[in-house]
Amino acid sequence: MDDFEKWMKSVPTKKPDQGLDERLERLFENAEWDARKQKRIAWPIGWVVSACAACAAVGFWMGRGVVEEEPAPSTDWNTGAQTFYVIEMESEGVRNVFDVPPAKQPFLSGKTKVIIIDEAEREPVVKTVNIEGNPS
Amino acid sequence: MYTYALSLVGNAAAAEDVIHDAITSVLGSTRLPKELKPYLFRCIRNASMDVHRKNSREPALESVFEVSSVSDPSLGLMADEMLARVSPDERETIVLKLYSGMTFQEIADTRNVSVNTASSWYRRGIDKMRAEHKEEKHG
Repeated sequence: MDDFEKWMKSVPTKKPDQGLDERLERLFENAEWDARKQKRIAWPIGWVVSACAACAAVGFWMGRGVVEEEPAPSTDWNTGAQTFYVIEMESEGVRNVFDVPPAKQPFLSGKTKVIIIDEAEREPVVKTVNIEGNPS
Repeated sequence: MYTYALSLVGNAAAAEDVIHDAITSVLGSTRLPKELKPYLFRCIRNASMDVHRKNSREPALESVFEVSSVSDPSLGLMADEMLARVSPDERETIVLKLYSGMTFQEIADTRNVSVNTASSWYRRGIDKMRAEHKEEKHG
């Protein structure tokens, strides 16, 4: 860089006013909030979409056979104001992913580890439940 | 960033809007490139093009320099006049190089041209301005 370029570089340029800083600050705050929200929602959605393809077919096939043989247990999964949706189930070494209430999956029995989403919080929570009863 | 936006759109309010739009677009991108700086400047450039498309009439260009500089008010005006006489590509490259601190590689990525093209735009523009500066000093 020669003297002329250095001179050009030294000429002061205009600075944005305070308004731009404030606008950008708000923008980043909103983006951070959106990212947090997206992460919280995308996590279980992504899990369902990616994991479901392989497991759903097996689950559907297994579920179909059992449903034809015996009726689904009348498990009430609604506890007060909160509705739980089962995303993943692990039972007797078999891992399945569902987007339907577990009461519709009668082939699962006994203690079952489930990952549920609290509808209000949208946070995945791991709970061990008895398939015949309510979430513990 | 601001100097570059201002040099492209020519007025302070539009430059701020352009930066706001560019950053919104970067934050909304699902996949960001490895080199973020040229990408951000390209977003600023695209947003500026949108401003030009919306305003069919050519607006009066506001100076990128602080013409009311306390030390020497004529400095900004002189630099502004010289910058106004080079071609748009040369001007843009000079602003990116001198006032945004970009390398020729980053300028090339921003403008989607080769490094040689970016380098020769800069060199040609600076040479023209230097010659003019000499003339003014001697004349």
